[in-house]
Amino acid sequence: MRPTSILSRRKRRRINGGFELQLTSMMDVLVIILVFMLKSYSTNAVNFAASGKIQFPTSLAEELPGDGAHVIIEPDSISFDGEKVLNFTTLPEPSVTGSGYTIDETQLADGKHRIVPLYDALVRARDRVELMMSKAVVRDEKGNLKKPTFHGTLIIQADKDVRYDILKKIMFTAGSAGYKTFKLVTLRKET
Amino acid sequence: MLKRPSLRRKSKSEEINLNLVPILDAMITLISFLLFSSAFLAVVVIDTPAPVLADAKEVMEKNKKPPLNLTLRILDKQMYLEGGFGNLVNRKIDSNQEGLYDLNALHTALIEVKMKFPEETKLILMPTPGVAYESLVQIMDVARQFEKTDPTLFKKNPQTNVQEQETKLFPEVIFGNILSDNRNFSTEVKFT
Repeated sequence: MRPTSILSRRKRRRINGGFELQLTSMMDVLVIILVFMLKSYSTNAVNFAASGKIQFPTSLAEELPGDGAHVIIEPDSISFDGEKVLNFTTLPEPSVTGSGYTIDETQLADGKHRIVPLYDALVRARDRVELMMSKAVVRDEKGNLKKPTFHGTLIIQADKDVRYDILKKIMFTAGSAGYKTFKLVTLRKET
Repeated sequence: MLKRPSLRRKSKSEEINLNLVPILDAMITLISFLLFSSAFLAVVVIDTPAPVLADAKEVMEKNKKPPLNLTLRILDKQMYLEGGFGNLVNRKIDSNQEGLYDLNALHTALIEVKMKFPEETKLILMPTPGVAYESLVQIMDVARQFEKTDPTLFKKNPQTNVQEQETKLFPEVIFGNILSDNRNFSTEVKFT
């Protein structure tokens, strides 16, 4: 008869197979996080790409930015729908209030109110949208078929130090190009 | 066929362990993607329609009374509030002690106007070219909504015929001088 030592008995009892983590509880937590994040993600109707160079003013407004063309007024340039359309001739100095944001006068028209490169970009964008709309048909509230009309919403992202003069020129330019509503982007002020 | 008792004793009920590791991997990827793409700053917008030129006669016929045309002229330090071309409302709002726009005085003046003309919802802003965008946003905030400490105003809802509390002061803010030149403001109206 083979002698059985304590050690060999212990070896026999050892469970075969590797060590397994109990992941079920961790899965529960992750599923909850995922559902919560998906829910909050779906409420953000618009994928909003804000420029890092500008500081938005804060406001008590509650309306979320909807669809529309984006004009971004950065310290050195004006961009429209992701493309730079105009460079300012001077840059703002932090110590001087209201400095910078100067537009070369050769780029202005209509009594220095209309910014020509921006106007061209806006008109091109409008033409593109109208071309797409000409092929579409929508139903109105009564259910009748009709051609959609161009509403022209312009979302303006500007630094808090931008002067009204620049905003006015941009709004004048957009108004001339057929854009009827302006949305001024701000950050929500916590009350 | 039943197993022999000796075999029955030996047979173990084997537990099935789900391999959750790939699902876990997918979830971690999804969560990190959502975290990267989610916005932590609440971005909001202030709506302002472009001013439209209209025939004064047509507007008066449509509204059956002359419009108030509540206008706020914003200068470098002061503000001038006028309505009905200065005949119904005319107020001068000086800067506060810190030399900034006196937003509290403006809010109080606007509440007084709203109490007199509860149907009015429009405010026309006419800032001078040098006014900063941040100041404009602050002024629009003050003009657009009531604060919690303000006196309450009730207005009849035409659909339900129920008196409802008004939460908005002058929600439609329009820039009235987009089409005009950058002239200096000179008033013929005597402000009080």
